[in-house]
Amino acid sequence: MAKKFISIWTIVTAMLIAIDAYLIAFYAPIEINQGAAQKIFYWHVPSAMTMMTFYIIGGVASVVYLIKKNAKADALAVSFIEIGFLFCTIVLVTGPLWAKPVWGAWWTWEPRLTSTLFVWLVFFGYFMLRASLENKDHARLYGSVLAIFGCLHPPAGFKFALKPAGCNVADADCFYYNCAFTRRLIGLFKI
Amino acid sequence: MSKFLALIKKEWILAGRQKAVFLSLLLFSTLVILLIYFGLEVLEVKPKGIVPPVIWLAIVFGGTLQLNRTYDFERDEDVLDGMRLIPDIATQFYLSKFAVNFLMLAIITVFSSFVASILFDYPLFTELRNIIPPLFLGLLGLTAVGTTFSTMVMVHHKRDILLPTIFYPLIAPLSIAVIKSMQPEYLDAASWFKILLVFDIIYVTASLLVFDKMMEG
Amino acid sequence: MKKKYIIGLAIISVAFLYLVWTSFKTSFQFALTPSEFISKQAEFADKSVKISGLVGRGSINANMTDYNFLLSDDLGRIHVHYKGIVPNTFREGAEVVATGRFNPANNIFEATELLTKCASKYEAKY
Repeated sequence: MAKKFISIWTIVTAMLIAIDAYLIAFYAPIEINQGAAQKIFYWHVPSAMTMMTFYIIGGVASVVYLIKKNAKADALAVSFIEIGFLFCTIVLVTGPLWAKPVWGAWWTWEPRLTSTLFVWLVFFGYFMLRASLENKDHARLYGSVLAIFGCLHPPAGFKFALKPAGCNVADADCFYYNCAFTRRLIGLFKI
Repeated sequence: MSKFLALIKKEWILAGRQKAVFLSLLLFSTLVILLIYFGLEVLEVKPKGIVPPVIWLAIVFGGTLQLNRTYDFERDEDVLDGMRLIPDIATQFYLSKFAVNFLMLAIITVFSSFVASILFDYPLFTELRNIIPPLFLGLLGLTAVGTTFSTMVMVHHKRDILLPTIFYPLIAPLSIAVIKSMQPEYLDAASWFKILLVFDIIYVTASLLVFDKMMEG
Repeated sequence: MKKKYIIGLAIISVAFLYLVWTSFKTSFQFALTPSEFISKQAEFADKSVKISGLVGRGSINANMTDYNFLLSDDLGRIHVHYKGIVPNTFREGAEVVATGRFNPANNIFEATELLTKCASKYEAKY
């Protein structure tokens, strides 16, 4: 049953991704200042949001594990952190792809980029640690401690703390306009 | 409190038996500074601003060696299991380890500050006012996280690889804060110092909270 | 025992929120406007500063990757020199933040970093 559900869900997701890609390419308008490069935001920004949400849930589940020593909580934490890690990777790949045409460089030590890289590295270490501890109880225990530190490793605070005085194109107010485009996309389905 | 003092006494006796290790830590930090110096040899004039980061790097690299051997004496003979039998020992045990690591790292700091200022011709004594507070807070955060993390890899035979991989990304923001707040000519130095302080509060509190749970098993 | 955790968690949350809050507050504090910079020039001599303003109309003078332009606000303007690749949203009238040092010898602000503030909104090109 569960297996069947997963395979159906995979197909549905793949189709949604295809529709999404089509809409991004042909329905969404081209932005006047940044050109086609802006379209990568439709992937980049939601990935960043997913990453944040999943890491936070993973962190909370790790706290629960540490208090209750409940293997289910740990399984939850690992799965959320794994998916969060995947989206973190997407963010790190799409970020430079967007930055090259718009800023003129693949990588700038832009605060968001930098803090995302650190978070990516922390959770890379998380999987390393879990994989290399043979004792499963140790792996769970120490993994959850690392996850808690990783989530405290102030991704949110740090992100803003490092922010240079000039807001970047990926910034909040710009983001809302980006949302406006997304709303148009959603509006399409309502028609 | 008496438990804490007993633990400190134990650490003191054990440290006394390992003077050679201590010397090699200092030597290692010196070598790090030397290597950085030769790496930067292309720069004909060494800007004053590169010395604080060099000192910090020497502390981080030398400190990693020290942190890795935090539990050298507890690893064998099931000392930790014995320790677990004593009620309410976790916090004191953590603090004793923290104190030893902090002291060792502080000695490395003082030593490598001297070495770096000699090699880079840095006016150490006029800069002391600027570099001591950030270095102190930096050491605090580094030791707090490092002591907790060395507990995680304690029983692992590849801990010398594992500790830096999980430890360095976590202290990267801390390092940025330390380095930036050590340079008052940098305009944001004061706000970085506040951020550093908050990092320390978070790391020390979180370490104290999780260590109980880590000792439980 | 429970009390310890509650206090600890409270400290961590307060510290965390403080971090978020201060950074919101300070993030725009350090960019000076050109007129502010001119009036406090002595204070910032030999210090790295951030100046935010509009790129003056018709002031961009580019030679390969060498850019000279005027950064202005309502009351003042500064001659900025920047060598490097500029973002492609950099144009006349754009709001930019330049980081660098002021060179009093020739009255030029030597920028080491140039960021364009985002266009106030996205516009579609059909």
